[in-house]
Amino acid sequence: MDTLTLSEADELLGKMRETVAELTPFVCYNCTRCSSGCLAVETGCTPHRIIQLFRLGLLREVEEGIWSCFFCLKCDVRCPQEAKPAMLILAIRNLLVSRGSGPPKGYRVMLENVEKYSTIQQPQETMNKDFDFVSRGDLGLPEMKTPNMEVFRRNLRKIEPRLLGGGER
Amino acid sequence: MKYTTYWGCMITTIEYAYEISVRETFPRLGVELVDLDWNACCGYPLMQVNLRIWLYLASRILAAAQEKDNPLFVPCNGCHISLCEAQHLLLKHPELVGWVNGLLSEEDIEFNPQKPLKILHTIDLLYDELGLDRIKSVVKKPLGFKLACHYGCHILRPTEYPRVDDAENPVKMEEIIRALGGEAEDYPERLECCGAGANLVEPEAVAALSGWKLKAVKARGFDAMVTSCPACQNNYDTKQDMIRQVTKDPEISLPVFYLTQLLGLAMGIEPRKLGIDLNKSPVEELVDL
Repeated sequence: MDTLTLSEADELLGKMRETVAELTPFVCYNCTRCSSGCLAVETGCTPHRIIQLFRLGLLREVEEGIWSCFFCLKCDVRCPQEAKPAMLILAIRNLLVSRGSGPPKGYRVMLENVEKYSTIQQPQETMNKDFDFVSRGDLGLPEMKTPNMEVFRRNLRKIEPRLLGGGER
Repeated sequence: MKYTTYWGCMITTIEYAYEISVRETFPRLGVELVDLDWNACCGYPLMQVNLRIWLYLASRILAAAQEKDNPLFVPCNGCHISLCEAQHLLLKHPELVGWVNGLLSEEDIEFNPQKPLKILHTIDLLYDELGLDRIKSVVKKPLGFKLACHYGCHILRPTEYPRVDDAENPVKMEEIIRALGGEAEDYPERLECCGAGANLVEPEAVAALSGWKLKAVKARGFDAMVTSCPACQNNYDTKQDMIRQVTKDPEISLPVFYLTQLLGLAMGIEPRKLGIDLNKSPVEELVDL
Protein backbone atom coordinates (compact mmCIF):
# COMPACT_ATOMS: atom_id res chain seq x y z
CA MET A 1 0.00 0.00 0.00
CA ASP A 2 1.32 3.44 -0.99
CA THR A 3 1.30 5.66 2.04
CA LEU A 4 2.45 9.11 2.94
CA THR A 5 5.03 8.56 5.62
CA LEU A 6 5.02 11.01 8.45
CA SER A 7 8.68 11.76 7.97
CA GLU A 8 8.04 12.74 4.37
CA ALA A 9 5.04 14.80 5.41
CA ASP A 10 7.04 16.52 8.11
CA GLU A 11 9.76 17.43 5.67
CA LEU A 12 7.22 18.88 3.30
CA LEU A 13 5.36 20.72 5.99
CA GLY A 14 8.67 22.15 7.11
CA LYS A 15 9.11 23.58 3.66
CA MET A 16 5.51 24.74 3.53
CA ARG A 17 5.96 26.75 6.69
CA GLU A 18 8.28 29.01 4.75
CA THR A 19 5.74 29.72 2.11
CA VAL A 20 2.19 29.19 3.40
CA ALA A 21 1.61 29.52 7.10
CA GLU A 22 2.06 27.55 10.27
CA LEU A 23 0.35 24.26 9.49
CA THR A 24 -0.99 22.43 12.48
CA PRO A 25 -3.23 19.52 11.40
CA PHE A 26 -2.26 17.60 14.52
CA VAL A 27 -4.23 19.93 16.78
CA CYS A 28 -7.52 18.93 15.10
CA TYR A 29 -9.95 17.29 17.53
CA ASN A 30 -12.31 16.24 14.78
CA CYS A 31 -15.25 18.45 15.73
CA THR A 32 -16.25 18.48 12.00
CA ARG A 33 -17.16 22.15 12.06
CA CYS A 34 -15.08 22.56 8.88
CA SER A 35 -17.13 19.99 6.99
CA SER A 36 -20.49 21.09 8.34
CA GLY A 37 -20.11 24.48 6.65
CA CYS A 38 -18.36 23.19 3.54
CA LEU A 39 -20.15 23.33 0.17
CA ALA A 40 -17.43 21.18 -1.44
CA VAL A 41 -18.75 18.21 0.55
CA GLU A 42 -21.26 18.07 -2.33
CA THR A 43 -18.40 17.54 -4.77
CA GLY A 44 -16.66 14.83 -2.76
CA CYS A 45 -14.20 16.79 -0.60
CA THR A 46 -14.69 16.55 3.17
CA PRO A 47 -12.14 18.63 5.11
CA HIS A 48 -12.22 16.86 8.50
CA ARG A 49 -11.84 13.51 6.76
CA ILE A 50 -8.84 14.78 4.81
CA ILE A 51 -7.18 15.93 8.03
CA GLN A 52 -7.71 12.54 9.69
CA LEU A 53 -6.51 10.58 6.66
CA PHE A 54 -3.45 12.79 6.38
CA ARG A 55 -2.64 12.14 10.03
CA LEU A 56 -2.84 8.44 9.31
CA GLY A 57 -0.61 8.92 6.27
CA LEU A 58 -3.06 7.30 3.87
CA LEU A 59 -2.16 8.68 0.47
CA ARG A 60 -4.69 7.04 -1.82
CA GLU A 61 -7.58 7.91 0.47
CA VAL A 62 -6.37 11.47 0.94
CA GLU A 63 -6.07 11.92 -2.83
CA GLU A 64 -9.72 11.08 -3.38
CA GLY A 65 -11.65 14.33 -3.72
CA ILE A 66 -8.64 16.48 -2.85
CA TRP A 67 -8.96 18.56 -6.06
CA SER A 68 -12.68 19.26 -5.51
CA CYS A 69 -12.11 21.77 -2.70
CA PHE A 70 -13.05 25.32 -3.83
CA PHE A 71 -10.38 26.83 -1.58
CA CYS A 72 -12.96 29.27 -0.21
CA LEU A 73 -11.07 29.28 3.13
CA LYS A 74 -14.23 29.18 5.23
CA CYS A 75 -12.92 26.15 7.17
CA ASP A 76 -9.66 27.95 7.97
CA VAL A 77 -11.57 30.88 9.46
CA ARG A 78 -14.07 28.76 11.39
CA CYS A 79 -11.80 26.06 12.83
CA PRO A 80 -11.74 26.50 16.64
CA GLN A 81 -8.28 24.89 16.76
CA GLU A 82 -6.79 26.84 13.85
CA ALA A 83 -5.88 23.55 12.19
CA LYS A 84 -6.25 25.25 8.78
CA PRO A 85 -7.85 22.49 6.72
CA ALA A 86 -7.66 24.53 3.49
CA MET A 87 -3.95 25.18 3.93
CA LEU A 88 -3.45 21.47 4.52
CA ILE A 89 -5.36 20.69 1.33
CA LEU A 90 -3.11 23.15 -0.50
CA ALA A 91 -0.03 21.50 0.99
CA ILE A 92 -1.26 18.01 0.04
CA ARG A 93 -1.98 19.12 -3.54
CA ASN A 94 1.56 20.51 -3.81
CA LEU A 95 2.93 17.31 -2.33
CA LEU A 96 0.98 15.11 -4.75
CA VAL A 97 2.18 17.15 -7.73
CA SER A 98 5.76 16.98 -6.56
CA ARG A 99 5.40 13.18 -6.37
CA GLY A 100 4.22 13.12 -9.99
CA SER A 101 0.52 12.69 -9.32
CA GLY A 102 -1.77 15.25 -10.95
CA PRO A 103 -2.57 18.05 -11.17
CA PRO A 104 -5.86 17.81 -13.09
CA LYS A 105 -5.57 18.75 -16.75
CA GLY A 106 -7.09 22.24 -16.35
CA TYR A 107 -4.20 23.31 -14.13
CA ARG A 108 -1.62 22.06 -16.64
CA VAL A 109 -3.32 24.01 -19.44
CA MET A 110 -3.36 27.10 -17.24
CA LEU A 111 0.34 26.78 -16.46
CA GLU A 112 1.19 26.26 -20.15
CA ASN A 113 -0.84 29.34 -21.06
CA VAL A 114 0.93 31.46 -18.47
CA GLU A 115 4.25 30.32 -19.93
CA LYS A 116 3.04 31.14 -23.47
CA TYR A 117 1.09 34.37 -22.94
CA SER A 118 1.86 35.47 -19.35
CA THR A 119 -1.88 35.19 -18.55
CA ILE A 120 -4.07 32.12 -17.94
CA GLN A 121 -5.75 32.65 -21.31
CA GLN A 122 -5.67 35.06 -24.24
CA PRO A 123 -8.32 37.79 -24.60
CA GLN A 124 -11.53 36.26 -25.93
CA GLU A 125 -14.46 37.71 -27.81
CA THR A 126 -17.69 37.92 -25.87
CA MET A 127 -21.29 38.21 -27.04
CA ASN A 128 -23.36 41.27 -26.20
CA LYS A 129 -27.15 41.53 -25.92
CA ASP A 130 -27.39 42.28 -29.67
CA PHE A 131 -25.75 38.87 -30.33
CA ASP A 132 -22.61 40.54 -31.71
CA PHE A 133 -19.22 39.12 -30.77
CA VAL A 134 -17.01 41.90 -29.48
CA SER A 135 -13.31 42.12 -28.60
CA ARG A 136 -11.38 44.37 -26.21
CA GLY A 137 -10.66 46.68 -29.14
CA ASP A 138 -14.33 46.86 -30.15
CA LEU A 139 -15.14 47.88 -26.59
CA GLY A 140 -12.51 50.62 -26.58
CA LEU A 141 -10.36 48.86 -23.98
CA PRO A 142 -6.58 49.34 -24.21
CA GLU A 143 -4.36 46.53 -25.45
CA MET A 144 -2.54 44.83 -22.58
CA LYS A 145 1.23 44.58 -22.92
CA THR A 146 3.19 41.49 -21.92
CA PRO A 147 6.41 41.52 -19.90
CA ASN A 148 9.77 40.36 -21.27
CA MET A 149 8.66 36.84 -22.07
CA GLU A 150 12.11 35.35 -22.63
CA VAL A 151 13.38 36.10 -19.13
CA PHE A 152 9.98 35.29 -17.67
CA ARG A 153 9.92 31.83 -19.24
CA ARG A 154 13.48 31.15 -18.17
CA ASN A 155 12.53 32.04 -14.59
CA LEU A 156 9.40 29.87 -14.69
CA ARG A 157 11.41 26.91 -15.93
CA LYS A 158 13.99 27.52 -13.23
CA ILE A 159 11.34 26.93 -10.59
CA GLU A 160 10.90 23.17 -10.89
CA PRO A 161 7.19 22.94 -11.78
CA ARG A 162 6.75 19.39 -10.52
CA LEU A 163 8.66 19.43 -7.29
CA LEU A 164 8.16 21.93 -4.54
CA GLY A 165 11.51 22.96 -3.13
CA GLY A 166 13.29 21.54 -6.17
CA GLY A 167 13.88 24.99 -7.62
CA GLU A 168 16.63 27.45 -6.79
CA ARG A 169 16.54 29.11 -3.42
CA MET B 1 -6.07 60.34 -5.94
CA LYS B 2 -3.77 58.19 -8.05
CA TYR B 3 -3.84 54.39 -7.92
CA THR B 4 -1.66 51.91 -9.77
CA THR B 5 -4.12 49.40 -11.22
CA TYR B 6 -3.49 45.71 -11.69
CA TRP B 7 -6.28 44.02 -13.64
CA GLY B 8 -5.08 40.39 -13.75
CA CYS B 9 -6.13 37.70 -16.24
CA MET B 10 -9.84 37.20 -15.92
CA ILE B 11 -10.96 40.82 -16.22
CA THR B 12 -8.68 41.49 -19.20
CA THR B 13 -9.49 38.33 -21.16
CA ILE B 14 -13.22 37.73 -20.67
CA GLU B 15 -14.89 39.74 -17.89
CA TYR B 16 -14.70 43.07 -19.74
CA ALA B 17 -17.80 44.54 -18.09
CA TYR B 18 -15.87 44.95 -14.83
CA GLU B 19 -12.99 46.79 -16.50
CA ILE B 20 -15.34 48.98 -18.56
CA SER B 21 -17.46 49.97 -15.56
CA VAL B 22 -14.44 50.74 -13.36
CA ARG B 23 -12.78 52.83 -16.09
CA GLU B 24 -16.06 54.68 -16.67
CA THR B 25 -16.96 55.42 -13.05
CA PHE B 26 -13.78 55.83 -10.99
CA PRO B 27 -12.29 58.81 -12.85
CA ARG B 28 -15.60 60.66 -12.33
CA LEU B 29 -15.04 60.19 -8.58
CA GLY B 30 -11.58 61.71 -8.80
CA VAL B 31 -9.77 58.37 -8.91
CA GLU B 32 -6.93 58.35 -11.44
CA LEU B 33 -6.14 54.83 -12.62
CA VAL B 34 -2.55 54.18 -13.74
CA ASP B 35 -2.15 50.75 -15.35
CA LEU B 36 0.95 48.65 -14.69
CA ASP B 37 3.40 48.71 -17.62
CA TRP B 38 2.40 45.13 -18.45
CA ASN B 39 -0.19 42.56 -17.45
CA ALA B 40 0.55 39.04 -16.24
CA CYS B 41 -0.93 36.30 -14.05
CA CYS B 42 -0.82 36.88 -10.27
CA GLY B 43 -0.21 33.17 -9.81
CA TYR B 44 -3.16 32.50 -7.50
CA PRO B 45 -4.70 29.46 -9.23
CA LEU B 46 -1.23 27.95 -9.74
CA MET B 47 -0.59 28.08 -5.99
CA GLN B 48 -2.42 24.76 -5.87
CA VAL B 49 0.20 23.17 -8.10
CA ASN B 50 3.41 24.75 -6.90
CA LEU B 51 3.64 27.40 -4.20
CA ARG B 52 6.91 28.74 -5.56
CA ILE B 53 5.43 29.47 -8.97
CA TRP B 54 2.70 31.45 -7.21
CA LEU B 55 5.12 33.36 -5.01
CA TYR B 56 7.30 34.27 -7.98
CA LEU B 57 4.34 35.42 -10.10
CA ALA B 58 2.73 37.42 -7.29
CA SER B 59 6.02 39.01 -6.22
CA ARG B 60 6.81 40.31 -9.67
CA ILE B 61 3.47 42.12 -9.77
CA LEU B 62 4.26 43.62 -6.35
CA ALA B 63 7.74 44.60 -7.49
CA ALA B 64 6.43 46.20 -10.69
CA ALA B 65 3.77 48.06 -8.70
CA GLN B 66 6.35 49.37 -6.21
CA GLU B 67 8.06 51.21 -9.08
CA LYS B 68 4.96 53.38 -9.50
CA ASP B 69 4.87 54.73 -5.95
CA ASN B 70 1.04 54.80 -5.61
CA PRO B 71 -1.32 52.59 -3.62
CA LEU B 72 -2.20 49.47 -5.65
CA PHE B 73 -5.81 48.95 -6.76
CA VAL B 74 -6.71 45.32 -7.51
CA PRO B 75 -10.36 44.82 -8.56
CA CYS B 76 -10.23 40.99 -8.75
CA ASN B 77 -10.77 39.06 -5.50
CA GLY B 78 -8.33 36.31 -6.49
CA CYS B 79 -5.57 38.73 -7.45
CA HIS B 80 -6.25 40.74 -4.29
CA ILE B 81 -5.71 37.80 -1.93
CA SER B 82 -2.76 36.61 -4.00
CA LEU B 83 -0.88 39.90 -3.71
CA CYS B 84 -1.88 40.53 -0.07
CA GLU B 85 -0.78 37.05 0.97
CA ALA B 86 2.47 37.21 -0.99
CA GLN B 87 3.36 40.58 0.54
CA HIS B 88 2.45 39.28 4.01
CA LEU B 89 4.77 36.30 3.58
CA LEU B 90 7.61 38.32 2.10
CA LEU B 91 7.50 40.77 5.00
CA LYS B 92 7.40 37.90 7.52
CA HIS B 93 10.16 35.78 5.96
CA PRO B 94 13.19 37.75 4.72
CA GLU B 95 14.71 34.59 3.22
CA LEU B 96 11.83 34.47 0.75
CA VAL B 97 12.59 38.04 -0.35
CA GLY B 98 16.11 36.88 -1.21
CA TRP B 99 14.82 33.95 -3.25
CA VAL B 100 12.25 36.02 -5.11
CA ASN B 101 14.62 38.90 -5.84
CA GLY B 102 17.16 36.44 -7.23
CA LEU B 103 14.63 35.69 -9.97
CA LEU B 104 13.29 39.22 -10.33
CA SER B 105 16.77 40.76 -10.74
CA GLU B 106 16.90 39.18 -14.19
CA GLU B 107 13.78 41.16 -15.03
CA ASP B 108 15.36 44.35 -13.62
CA ILE B 109 12.83 44.70 -10.82
CA GLU B 110 12.93 43.86 -7.13
CA PHE B 111 10.58 43.61 -4.19
CA ASN B 112 11.56 46.11 -1.53
CA PRO B 113 10.34 45.02 1.93
CA GLN B 114 10.98 48.57 3.21
CA LYS B 115 8.25 49.89 0.90
CA PRO B 116 5.19 47.68 1.50
CA LEU B 117 2.27 48.50 -0.78
CA LYS B 118 -1.16 49.59 0.34
CA ILE B 119 -3.36 47.15 -1.61
CA LEU B 120 -7.00 48.05 -2.22
CA HIS B 121 -9.99 46.29 -3.71
CA THR B 122 -13.03 47.93 -5.31
CA ILE B 123 -15.04 47.75 -2.09
CA ASP B 124 -12.52 49.29 0.30
CA LEU B 125 -11.45 51.87 -2.26
CA LEU B 126 -15.08 53.01 -2.47
CA TYR B 127 -15.92 52.62 1.21
CA ASP B 128 -12.71 53.55 3.03
CA GLU B 129 -10.83 55.80 0.59
CA LEU B 130 -13.72 57.72 -0.98
CA GLY B 131 -16.36 57.24 1.71
CA LEU B 132 -20.13 56.95 1.63
CA ASP B 133 -20.72 60.73 1.62
CA ARG B 134 -18.64 61.15 -1.53
CA ILE B 135 -20.56 58.28 -3.15
CA LYS B 136 -23.92 59.72 -2.13
CA SER B 137 -22.93 63.07 -3.60
CA VAL B 138 -22.71 61.66 -7.15
CA VAL B 139 -26.00 59.71 -7.12
CA LYS B 140 -28.43 61.05 -9.73
CA LYS B 141 -30.67 58.02 -10.25
CA PRO B 142 -31.13 56.04 -7.03
CA LEU B 143 -31.14 52.30 -7.82
CA GLY B 144 -34.51 51.54 -6.28
CA PHE B 145 -34.21 47.77 -6.32
CA LYS B 146 -33.38 45.13 -3.75
CA LEU B 147 -29.94 43.55 -4.04
CA ALA B 148 -28.36 40.43 -2.62
CA CYS B 149 -24.69 41.26 -2.01
CA HIS B 150 -22.22 38.50 -2.86
CA TYR B 151 -18.75 39.51 -1.62
CA GLY B 152 -16.83 36.47 -2.81
CA CYS B 153 -14.58 34.54 -0.44
CA HIS B 154 -11.13 35.88 -1.05
CA ILE B 155 -11.60 39.51 -0.05
CA LEU B 156 -12.99 38.37 3.33
CA ARG B 157 -10.72 35.47 4.28
CA PRO B 158 -8.35 34.41 5.78
CA THR B 159 -7.79 36.39 8.97
CA GLU B 160 -3.98 36.25 9.28
CA TYR B 161 -3.53 39.50 7.36
CA PRO B 162 -5.90 42.40 6.67
CA ARG B 163 -8.81 41.73 4.35
CA VAL B 164 -11.40 44.08 2.86
CA ASP B 165 -14.10 43.48 5.49
CA ASP B 166 -14.98 41.20 8.41
CA ALA B 167 -14.79 37.50 7.49
CA GLU B 168 -18.13 36.57 9.08
CA ASN B 169 -20.07 39.82 9.20
CA PRO B 170 -19.11 42.11 6.33
CA VAL B 171 -21.16 45.30 5.90
CA LYS B 172 -19.37 47.55 3.41
CA MET B 173 -21.01 46.34 0.20
CA GLU B 174 -24.51 46.63 1.67
CA GLU B 175 -23.75 50.16 2.86
CA ILE B 176 -22.47 51.14 -0.58
CA ILE B 177 -25.66 49.76 -2.16
CA ARG B 178 -27.78 51.75 0.29
CA ALA B 179 -25.73 54.88 -0.50
CA LEU B 180 -26.59 54.27 -4.17
CA GLY B 181 -30.28 54.22 -3.34
CA GLY B 182 -30.70 50.45 -3.41
CA GLU B 183 -32.03 48.12 -0.77
CA ALA B 184 -29.73 45.49 0.74
CA GLU B 185 -30.12 43.06 3.61
CA ASP B 186 -28.52 39.94 5.05
CA TYR B 187 -29.60 36.49 3.82
CA PRO B 188 -28.54 33.01 4.99
CA GLU B 189 -26.56 32.13 1.85
CA ARG B 190 -24.71 35.45 1.74
CA LEU B 191 -21.22 34.16 2.55
CA GLU B 192 -21.47 30.94 0.53
CA CYS B 193 -18.81 30.39 -2.12
CA CYS B 194 -19.61 30.48 -5.87
CA GLY B 195 -17.44 27.39 -6.32
CA ALA B 196 -15.17 28.87 -9.01
CA GLY B 197 -12.14 27.23 -7.39
CA ALA B 198 -13.36 23.82 -8.56
CA ASN B 199 -14.47 24.86 -12.05
CA LEU B 200 -11.44 23.15 -13.57
CA VAL B 201 -12.32 19.86 -11.92
CA GLU B 202 -16.06 19.68 -11.21
CA PRO B 203 -17.78 22.21 -13.53
CA GLU B 204 -21.22 20.59 -13.31
CA ALA B 205 -21.23 20.32 -9.54
CA VAL B 206 -20.15 23.95 -9.35
CA ALA B 207 -22.95 24.98 -11.75
CA ALA B 208 -25.46 23.17 -9.55
CA LEU B 209 -24.20 25.03 -6.47
CA SER B 210 -24.29 28.39 -8.24
CA GLY B 211 -27.86 27.57 -9.27
CA TRP B 212 -28.76 26.73 -5.68
CA LYS B 213 -27.65 30.17 -4.48
CA LEU B 214 -29.32 32.04 -7.37
CA LYS B 215 -32.56 30.22 -6.63
CA ALA B 216 -32.36 30.98 -2.92
CA VAL B 217 -31.69 34.66 -3.58
CA LYS B 218 -34.71 34.91 -5.86
CA ALA B 219 -36.94 33.02 -3.43
CA ARG B 220 -36.00 35.49 -0.69
CA GLY B 221 -37.42 38.35 -2.73
CA PHE B 222 -34.26 39.99 -4.06
CA ASP B 223 -34.47 41.63 -7.50
CA ALA B 224 -30.86 40.94 -8.40
CA MET B 225 -27.44 39.88 -7.13
CA VAL B 226 -24.36 42.10 -7.00
CA THR B 227 -20.75 40.90 -7.10
CA SER B 228 -17.31 42.46 -7.05
CA CYS B 229 -15.24 39.53 -8.33
CA PRO B 230 -14.81 38.41 -11.96
CA ALA B 231 -14.82 34.72 -11.03
CA CYS B 232 -18.05 35.00 -9.03
CA GLN B 233 -19.68 37.12 -11.74
CA ASN B 234 -18.62 34.57 -14.35
CA ASN B 235 -20.29 31.80 -12.36
CA TYR B 236 -23.51 33.60 -11.47
CA ASP B 237 -24.02 35.78 -14.55
CA THR B 238 -22.25 34.20 -17.52
CA LYS B 239 -23.16 30.60 -16.75
CA GLN B 240 -26.91 30.83 -16.14
CA ASP B 241 -27.61 28.88 -19.36
CA MET B 242 -25.31 26.08 -18.24
CA ILE B 243 -26.82 26.19 -14.74
CA ARG B 244 -30.32 25.68 -16.17
CA GLN B 245 -29.08 22.77 -18.27
CA VAL B 246 -27.23 21.05 -15.42
CA THR B 247 -30.00 21.53 -12.86
CA LYS B 248 -32.79 20.94 -15.42
CA ASP B 249 -34.48 23.87 -13.73
CA PRO B 250 -35.65 26.49 -16.28
CA GLU B 251 -36.84 28.76 -13.45
CA ILE B 252 -33.31 29.69 -12.37
CA SER B 253 -32.90 33.18 -13.76
CA LEU B 254 -31.74 36.33 -11.97
CA PRO B 255 -30.10 39.59 -13.03
CA VAL B 256 -26.50 39.78 -11.77
CA PHE B 257 -24.45 42.99 -11.83
CA TYR B 258 -20.98 44.15 -10.94
CA LEU B 259 -20.96 46.64 -8.08
CA THR B 260 -19.28 49.18 -10.37
CA GLN B 261 -22.06 48.79 -12.95
CA LEU B 262 -24.61 49.69 -10.28
CA LEU B 263 -22.42 52.59 -9.16
CA GLY B 264 -22.48 53.88 -12.75
CA LEU B 265 -26.23 53.41 -13.14
CA ALA B 266 -26.83 55.37 -9.95
CA MET B 267 -24.51 58.09 -11.27
CA GLY B 268 -26.80 58.33 -14.29
CA ILE B 269 -24.33 56.84 -16.79
CA GLU B 270 -25.77 55.17 -19.89
CA PRO B 271 -25.96 51.37 -19.31
CA ARG B 272 -23.97 50.37 -22.40
CA LYS B 273 -21.09 52.58 -21.28
CA LEU B 274 -20.96 50.33 -18.20
CA GLY B 275 -20.86 47.12 -20.24
CA ILE B 276 -24.30 46.09 -18.99
CA ASP B 277 -25.08 44.77 -22.49
CA LEU B 278 -22.26 42.25 -21.93
CA ASN B 279 -23.96 40.64 -18.93
CA LYS B 280 -25.50 37.29 -19.83
CA SER B 281 -28.12 37.25 -17.08
CA PRO B 282 -31.52 38.96 -17.64
CA VAL B 283 -30.35 42.44 -16.59
CA GLU B 284 -32.83 43.95 -19.06
CA GLU B 285 -35.55 43.08 -16.51
CA LEU B 286 -34.26 46.01 -14.43
CA VAL B 287 -32.35 48.24 -16.84
CA ASP B 288 -33.41 49.69 -20.21
CA LEU B 289 -30.57 48.92 -22.59
